[in-house]
Amino acid sequence: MEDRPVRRRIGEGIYFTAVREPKFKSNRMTAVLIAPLERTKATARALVPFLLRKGCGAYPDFTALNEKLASMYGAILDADVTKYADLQMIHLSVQTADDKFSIAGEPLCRESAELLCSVLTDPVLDKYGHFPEQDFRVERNYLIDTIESELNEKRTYAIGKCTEILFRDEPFGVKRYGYKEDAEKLTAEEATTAWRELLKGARMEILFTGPGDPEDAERVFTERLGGLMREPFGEHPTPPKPYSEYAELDEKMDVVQGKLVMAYRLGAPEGETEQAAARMMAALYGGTPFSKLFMNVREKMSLCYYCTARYDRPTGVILVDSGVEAANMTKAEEEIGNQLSAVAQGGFTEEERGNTLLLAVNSLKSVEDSLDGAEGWYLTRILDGDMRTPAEDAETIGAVTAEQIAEMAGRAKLAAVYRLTGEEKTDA
Amino acid sequence: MRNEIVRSERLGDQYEIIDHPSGLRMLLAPMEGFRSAYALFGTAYGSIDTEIHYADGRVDPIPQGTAHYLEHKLFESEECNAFDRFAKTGASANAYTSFDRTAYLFSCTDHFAESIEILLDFVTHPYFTAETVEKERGIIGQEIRMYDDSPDWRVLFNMLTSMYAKNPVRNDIAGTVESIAEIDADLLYKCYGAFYDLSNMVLAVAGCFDRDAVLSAADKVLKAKEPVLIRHSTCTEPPEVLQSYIEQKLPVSVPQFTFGFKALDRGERENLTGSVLDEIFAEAMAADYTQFYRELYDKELINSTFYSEAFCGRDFCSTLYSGESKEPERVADALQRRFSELRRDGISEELFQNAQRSVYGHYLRSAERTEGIASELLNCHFAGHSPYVLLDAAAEATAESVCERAFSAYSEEYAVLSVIRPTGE
Repeated sequence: MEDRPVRRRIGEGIYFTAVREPKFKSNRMTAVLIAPLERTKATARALVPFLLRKGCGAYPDFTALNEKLASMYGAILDADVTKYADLQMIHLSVQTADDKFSIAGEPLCRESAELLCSVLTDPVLDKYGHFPEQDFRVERNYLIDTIESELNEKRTYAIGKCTEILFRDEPFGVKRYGYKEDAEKLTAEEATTAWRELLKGARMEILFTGPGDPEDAERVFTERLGGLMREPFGEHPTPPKPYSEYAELDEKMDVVQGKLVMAYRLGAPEGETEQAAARMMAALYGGTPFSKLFMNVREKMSLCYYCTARYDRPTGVILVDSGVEAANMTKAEEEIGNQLSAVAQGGFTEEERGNTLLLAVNSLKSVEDSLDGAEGWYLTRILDGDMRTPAEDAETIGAVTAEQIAEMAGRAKLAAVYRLTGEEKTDA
Repeated sequence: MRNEIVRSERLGDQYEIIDHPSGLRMLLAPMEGFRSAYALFGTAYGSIDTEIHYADGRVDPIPQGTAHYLEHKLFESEECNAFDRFAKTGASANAYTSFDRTAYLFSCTDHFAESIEILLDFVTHPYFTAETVEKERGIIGQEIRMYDDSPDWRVLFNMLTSMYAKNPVRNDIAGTVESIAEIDADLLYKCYGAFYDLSNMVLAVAGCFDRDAVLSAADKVLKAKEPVLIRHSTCTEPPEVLQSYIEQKLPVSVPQFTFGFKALDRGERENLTGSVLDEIFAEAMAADYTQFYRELYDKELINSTFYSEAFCGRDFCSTLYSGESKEPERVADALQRRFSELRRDGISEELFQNAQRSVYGHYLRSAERTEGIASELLNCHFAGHSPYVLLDAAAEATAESVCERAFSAYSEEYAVLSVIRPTGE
């Protein structure tokens, strides 16, 4: 992509963005339904993509739909839920081989667009106009399993717990898949209402990425979605808190390696210059294999197996995440804090800053070398309201000075700590 | 210096084979329109190499986890570590050790020439001392403990321990805290000498890069010498599995399982092409468009985490079905019955076509990523193939060839179910 992709309105609150990339062998089309992240609605909305994935008009059951996908050279139809800031996003994507690789000359690109529209707007419903009870029950139970299985991967689980105590009274804390207790009470009728509400009120962003003809796909989306009766929810972004009262949580579980997650607030950075400084600071502090955290906490002091930091732009939070032996927990926590103070006092060289920038630019420039990377980049740009290219972004972070990095680290205040240890903690 | 261009009619892609005078084979795949390059420098040495065989017939055993330990230590030289050198070029560097390979890699968009030189240089210049080797022991110990908590990892390794009686594929790649206690600098030098000869290694580069930069870096860094022939240890693995069921308890919410069918080993070359047919067969068995999947899904015996994979390497081959299930035994029984049904009834033409197209699409997608191309170049090279053989094998398969492979290499008897159950259940 040399030019910025063009985002066009194709219906009330519906937008189509084409990211033309001739080098790929497949096309990816994604419809993202964007709604405010609300504690009371999150669970029902999270269930919607999985119910839509069960079948649609022309392929009225799960097996028929999957057979169609297999015949389209193993096309992938993904359904998932993500969150960004205070938004919950329902994703449905189709990825299939470009027309030039189809053996029998099938128009796969057009078929994919049609299939995606059909899945979104024409699901299988029973005689009452609801999702069929059997499909609903199975998918609701799997949603409960998904919510519960967060426990399986301890690293993700620990990050989730820290985020939970950090955002205890902000919408950012609402879970993307919702809550078990809410899922247990849901009915097929409520799930159907959630779908209808999304179809009517959610902002729809359709992204097309790949070598195919986006105009053909755009025509399909305009014809099939442009005429929908719509009353968009409207979005009222929640500003992140600059700072919050410190919170902590200790848990014990049958684990061999402990987890330590620490969240810092940066006083709600504003504007591109501050945002860029926050990103560079997080990268220098803990985002690279030569960062302060990696070189000191892991390499020099051998306190943990991994120790990384990353910045979350919409909430203005830096999250430090590490795998630590129980005996090293206190020492690691102290050292993670010391390293941040060191950055705030300008305790890094020009070479460290330069190397951090090189790596950041490298990953920015590579982002468009994969279909999902390119799509993810432009979706985030759309959400931020700034359609910049990775190359333009590289220029912005290139302009961040050492003073700005130190100043940003100086603004950090510890807001939440989560510790997970094995049953017998032997902290010195 | 010999060079040759290999083309794929199906993909419209090509790569160049260059045999450098140092003995190193280089596989270069430029990809138009891409901004990044991905380079892999690897050797056919992994966790299953548990002995060094010298030319004079002597044999030295190697403790479990040595290949992985060596991978960690190779990043250090007398002056600095390779990550510090890559830090100056902006490349993102890493390495991995698998059952039968160790590979060092970087990806970059700028300063390719400097990065490729660093890669060739640090891998060919080992430097270990008693002190640096000792220091790594704690870090690797922590890595081993982290995997001890991972249900995905444990369910696989418990299965391999039960499936294989003798093949070292049953051992954890990183070894155990006890086995790595035996590793010292001398041992690492011995293993390096035995397994890191350029004639046994390969460099694969894909994406946006300057071909001449690769050649000049190789000319500058690599020195020609008498090749050392790798002699891999061999084992006589019986066709039977050691035990057909294994279970472990961990703090998970839903039980996890892997059910594996064990194949007869037919050597690395045939294991690889056979695995493409195995993937098509596994699709026909249990892909999400089969009635089989539908029934299990509707009975809530499997969920969307269910997947199948062909798992093969130098001297092992199997097909695995994994996922979450409240009743893994019932899923395993159903898979056994499904296998027998296909043996009896064959695969219908319609089902075969869908299975074949799915696998074809999978290989097509891996050919649009620099990492996918470089990895296939490396893996297929060690198995004695061109990477295009995988897409071609998928495109040229027939229902008969898939069944012939499945029912000659596999049988219902030789299968293992591995389960991770929630603590307290």
